[in-house]
Amino acid sequence: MRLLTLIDSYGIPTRGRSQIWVDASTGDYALEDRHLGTILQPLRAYRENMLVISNLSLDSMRATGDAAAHGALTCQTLTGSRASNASSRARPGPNATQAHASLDVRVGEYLNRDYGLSSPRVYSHLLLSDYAENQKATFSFGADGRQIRARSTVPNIVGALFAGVEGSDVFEQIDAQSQLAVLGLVGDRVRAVRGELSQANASAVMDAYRASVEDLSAELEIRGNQVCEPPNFASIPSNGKDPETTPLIFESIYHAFACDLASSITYAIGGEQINQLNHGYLYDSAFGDSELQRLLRQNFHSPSHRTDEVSDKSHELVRIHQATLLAGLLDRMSSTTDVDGVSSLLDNTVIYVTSAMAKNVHSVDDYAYLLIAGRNTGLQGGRHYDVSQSTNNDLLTTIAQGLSLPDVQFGGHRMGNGPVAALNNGPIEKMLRGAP
Amino acid sequence: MKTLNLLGAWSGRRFTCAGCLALSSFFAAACVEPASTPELAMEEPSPDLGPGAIDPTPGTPDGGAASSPDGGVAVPALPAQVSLLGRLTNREYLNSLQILLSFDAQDPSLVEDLEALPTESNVGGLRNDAETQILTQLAVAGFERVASAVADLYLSPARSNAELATLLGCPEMGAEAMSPCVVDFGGTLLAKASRRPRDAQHLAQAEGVLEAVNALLAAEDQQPTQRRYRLAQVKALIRYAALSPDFLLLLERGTPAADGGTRLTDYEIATRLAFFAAGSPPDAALLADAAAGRLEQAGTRAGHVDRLLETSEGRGQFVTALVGWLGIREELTEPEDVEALRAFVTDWLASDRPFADFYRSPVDVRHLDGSSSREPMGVLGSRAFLASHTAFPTPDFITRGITVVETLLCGKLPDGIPDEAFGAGELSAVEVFEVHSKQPCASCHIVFDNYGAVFQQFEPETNLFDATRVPFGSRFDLYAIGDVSGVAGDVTELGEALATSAQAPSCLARLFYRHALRRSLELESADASTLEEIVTGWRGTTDTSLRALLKEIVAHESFITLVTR
Repeated sequence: MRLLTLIDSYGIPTRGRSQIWVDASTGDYALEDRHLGTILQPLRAYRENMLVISNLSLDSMRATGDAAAHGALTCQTLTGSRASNASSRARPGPNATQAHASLDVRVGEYLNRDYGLSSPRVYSHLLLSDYAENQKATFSFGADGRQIRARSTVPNIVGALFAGVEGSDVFEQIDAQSQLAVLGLVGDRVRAVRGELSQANASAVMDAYRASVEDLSAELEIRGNQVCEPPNFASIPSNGKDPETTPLIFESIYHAFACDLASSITYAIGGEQINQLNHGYLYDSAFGDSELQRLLRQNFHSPSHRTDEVSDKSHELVRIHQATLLAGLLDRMSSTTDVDGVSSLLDNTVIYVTSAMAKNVHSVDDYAYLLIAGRNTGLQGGRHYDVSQSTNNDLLTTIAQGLSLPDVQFGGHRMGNGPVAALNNGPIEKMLRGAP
Repeated sequence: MKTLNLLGAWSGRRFTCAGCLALSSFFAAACVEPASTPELAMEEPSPDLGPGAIDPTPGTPDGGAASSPDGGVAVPALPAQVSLLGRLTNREYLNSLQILLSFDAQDPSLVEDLEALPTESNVGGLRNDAETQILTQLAVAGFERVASAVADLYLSPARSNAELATLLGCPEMGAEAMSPCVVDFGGTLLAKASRRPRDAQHLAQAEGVLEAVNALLAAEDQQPTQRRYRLAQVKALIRYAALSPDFLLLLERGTPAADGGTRLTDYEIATRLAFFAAGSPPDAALLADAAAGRLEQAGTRAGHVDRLLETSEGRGQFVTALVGWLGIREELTEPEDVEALRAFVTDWLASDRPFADFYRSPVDVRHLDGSSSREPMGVLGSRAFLASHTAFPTPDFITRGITVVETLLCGKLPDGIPDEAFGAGELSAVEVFEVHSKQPCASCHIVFDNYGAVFQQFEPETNLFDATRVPFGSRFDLYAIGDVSGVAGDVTELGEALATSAQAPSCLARLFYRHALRRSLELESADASTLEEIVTGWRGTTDTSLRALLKEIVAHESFITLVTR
């Protein structure tokens, strides 16, 4: 099993949803091609894998008294809990000490530790981003309170993610073993020094250091035994604003899954405040609208705060582009045999296409989400689901169960006052395979 | 079934500006009430301690945060003047490696590897806040990768054992598996890495590394005397040195102080001072004074600041800190505008100009009509500053007002934004400004909107100046932040208000005190009395230059204090 989470910031415009997203947003029904709007059309070959979700509200954001700002909403979307310090611009993100694990981290850790893999994957969880985004990196804490591994920017992804995956000669083996030996000695040194220090935070810092060194050693050891073909990019843009970064990250995701390197990957797609991906290449002069061209060329955050038709069109074009890239990934995953030698990569994967805001201008009602579920997962595809009677926490529980996790609830934490019980009503049964 | 009572969930929510049109995703906070205006408004310690946070009970191993009765995390009682364990910033790490191994950081072979260095948080203008420097696995992997690449670059000229011996400073390599040449190099390297004199421990660590490598070679039936395995030995030493906590972290063990507390050792003082004033490990002069035990003397420490400020490294260190504090965003700014700002700040620093000039020295201002003029606006008129605080589509007056209040004056922003604040629709900036002037929005926006409105003469899209552009009005009441209040009509008057205030220099002092001690914003309550002493000392003389402030900081007892008793 694997999870790919594609989280964008701005959601789907509400104007013309029936044309751009799904034909009807009310009621549950079996999907047909005619139901799929322009954004979903590129994915129609995978209609039977699709769970199209409408009418979801970010209930946890209201119930936990959170702010409707980017960092907090991103956190809420994946944790269903209040961001730890939403009043601080410096440190948005979940309250690590309250174990507000996010879905992607929780799934990754479960699959790597408890699911019963023959050997753990190199990465339980990866966070990928077009650009180095602190806001994204800081919302992802594991249940142990430590930040998840993060890989930002394409050069880092390719350089670090696949480094050492290839085979090596004796000298390279010595070098790799020497690297492990040095890390072991560094760990010893950290332990030796820890008790000598008088600084107030010394034990916490040294413990984190030691644990990180040990985790890195374990990762390198696993990687040393990995035989896999890394991606071969002719050129890698070093500028995170380059639109070419998005397909390259999709390529990296494919190889990471094909190499069985990761249990859960989160890709913060489409940019955030910091990112200024230029989508100008999506503009077709036939549109005849220079304002649309201008919007596509500038920081995607800018049109996100508008509700006019031109802004909505720019969102639609970007979403269609992303769906086309996703379709390409699905094509490859469906034709690549998984490590079990029987099923395809897609058969064992859930792809969660989500967003921090339901639509632009920071709305937290009427989210339009998409799940693409492989046939070996527990989620029932090929259907539209109206989830107006469920909370976003219930959806997180459902996805977790669809990936075989035993969780009966997810998140709902406030700041130090315990969870909000009403947020968790269990999984959305109708979305689970075998449901009546 | 959904059982959530949304009305009930909202009923306990406290905010006073529902419906206001803040249009601001720029700061994440919910409006509750305007901040009080103490002399130096400071945030309370956060009850939400993240990883790497302060131990609640210093000296207690593994001391976790105590639970409060409601199940939350209790606020620990933070003792004042307790030093924090920080790690080197990326810049400090590279500077230190360069001094250790004399390599060119611009070498093309390093470009991709340097990208692996961890992303740094900029908290309140600083990247060295100890509490944010979490050593994640990714961070360690990044440092390791850079260390490995630097080792390869350093060893690249050694095409034979003889050349390697020369590189390491030995007459010959020798035939022993544990070459004395490599051992000696390792001992010296580890001593320099730890920023203290070489001792037996350094040699023992070097031997430990070499023994580990030789064991690997023996297992593979390889001869350690082969050139490439000699290289492997040295590479392992460099990797170890560059990842050792003695190098990567700023370890402080301290020594008993006369008052019964613990002060830094002389080498620890040298290290703290060097990284503060130059962003690099201690140089020969600092090490000499450390060896002679002279760094306990305040005058000696201040003298080193004087000396280092005459170097390009020293000036660059503080100019970089100031530019970072001003929130300059290179992606929004033209390179020449950043250079112009750096030149302005460098001149202000190097010429020992009074503090007030920071906000009222003449700067070049480009006008909408194509002309230009010199205006007494200081950094406030810098195009880099203006462009960095133009967060379209958030109206500029909000973005800039927040920057002035929060960054330049250390004022406390209202605590939070209700989600209604984001439903602005299609209002123009002027219409938003007008809505904000009325309740309920005004209860929050009164704090910062007017501070931003004084920038109105800079056209928001181009930041070109137009004296006739007054969309928001002609005079603006400034919300009282410390002793800054009254009325301002334009940037020049705002600059004058900052230049002549006590609040603005106090805020600058706070920045550099945090910088010196790598202190977190959350500790500012604990630091208040110390800061007051430093500011009093600085402002009590006729010299109000930044140099005088920096000397006051390093001369203060807290600079060498590890634990107060």
